[in-house]
Amino acid sequence: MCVIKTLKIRVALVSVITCLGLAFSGCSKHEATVAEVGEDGAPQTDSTSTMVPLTKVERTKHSRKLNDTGITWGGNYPKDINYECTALVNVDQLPDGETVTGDILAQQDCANGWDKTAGENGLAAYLYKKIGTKGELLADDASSWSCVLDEVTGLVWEVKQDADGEYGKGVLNDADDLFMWYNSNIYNNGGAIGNWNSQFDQCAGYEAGKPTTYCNIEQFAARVNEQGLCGANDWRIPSRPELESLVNFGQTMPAIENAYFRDTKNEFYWSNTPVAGFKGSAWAVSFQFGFSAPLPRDNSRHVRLVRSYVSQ
Amino acid sequence: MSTKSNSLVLLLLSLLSGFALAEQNCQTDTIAASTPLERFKQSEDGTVVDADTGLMWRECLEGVTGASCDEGEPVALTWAGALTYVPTLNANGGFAGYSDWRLPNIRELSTLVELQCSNPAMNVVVFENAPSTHVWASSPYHFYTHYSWYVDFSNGAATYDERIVSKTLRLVRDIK
Repeated sequence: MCVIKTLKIRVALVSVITCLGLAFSGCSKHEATVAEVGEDGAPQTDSTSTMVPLTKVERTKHSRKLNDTGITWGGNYPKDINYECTALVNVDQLPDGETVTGDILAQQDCANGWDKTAGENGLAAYLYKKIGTKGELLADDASSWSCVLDEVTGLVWEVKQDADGEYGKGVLNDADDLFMWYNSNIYNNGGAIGNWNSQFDQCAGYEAGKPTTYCNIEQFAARVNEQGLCGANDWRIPSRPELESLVNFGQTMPAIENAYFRDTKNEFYWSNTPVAGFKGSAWAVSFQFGFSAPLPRDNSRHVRLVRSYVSQ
Repeated sequence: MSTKSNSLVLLLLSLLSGFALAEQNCQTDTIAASTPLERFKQSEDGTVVDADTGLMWRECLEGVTGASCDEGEPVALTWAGALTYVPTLNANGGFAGYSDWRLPNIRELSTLVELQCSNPAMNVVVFENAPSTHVWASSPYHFYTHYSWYVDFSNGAATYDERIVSKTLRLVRDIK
């Protein structure tokens, strides 16, 4: 079989984009107040239980595993966004020769899906529960929590701590820590192992010459599993689709529910998914803007661990 | 014909046409499949149901027909063109007996990305002859407010572009 390399080389444009640090936006960020989940499909939870109940989400008649996008506002054409789910065509701004006839709102994201009734609170797109250090379910207004359960996807996520601009300081889940991409699983590393990052002191516990302390994603997961997190020892690096399930497309900087995922950096987070055709790259997701991009594996980036919630 | 001259012909064609005719590249042994075949149920009527998401897709891009999606050229429209195309299609009989087709949002569209492949990053057993095109989502972008989201099916990236740029369309509907 002959495989022709595509002529169009994909370049990661990303660093250019991420340099734009200033937020300008025609749309105010939704206040991140925690709302009660609506009566349709409200999770039945027992706050006294130490087990985490994964309730079936019955927002729709089929078993749905996809989050909505969090977009509750409309886009005008050819530019600008609105506070509400409305949309206008600005005829004066159309490119020469272009005419638009018909409704540009009915098909838009905000007019469809379960978050269309979310109003001012994009959180209605997500069914998150705070989890404590031993895996216990916490109240929505708990001020301290270690993990978050997503009841739609059935995934439990690591919550980072101490985003103070300094690596480590003895806290394994430090929000500032950086890791290179490293994956010894030959069935899912794209044919190359990545970079184990022997020399950079970018994460908690690094010691030169001690591979188990190196700042790469695989060793990080191993260290968390050895110590245990939220009562579990089966933490892993998320696949790209799993990681993208956390993106709130309704906001940027950060593009995630910061009321639950506090201390999220406006940076890239690694997935464990290799890039087909590029052994030196892996997929990352920008939690500044929400998009996915192939990045070189020797980049130092953040990572957020995941585990699958196992129904008792 | 030797594979060498085949590749030369393909190379010339891709240079001349500007379309990505490069052969699909899949790493089935070294990258986990993100859209395994068992998730999907193809129907004679040109629709595909994804049991994982509960969504029904049209197998071909808009503008393309045929049992293997090998007839016609994909329609390419601006974001506004895409948003107005779908209600018109639904009002004119829809497709396969359904008149509630939608433009997918960015999360829905991303579920069709096959990450073990590129050119295209799609399961071409399910979506036959799928080209490496850019496909519009129904989701506007928050930061650059003249952009909207799309999926680049050459490598599977979920990203965004100016709304005035023309891209192809792949329709979805909810299973009631």
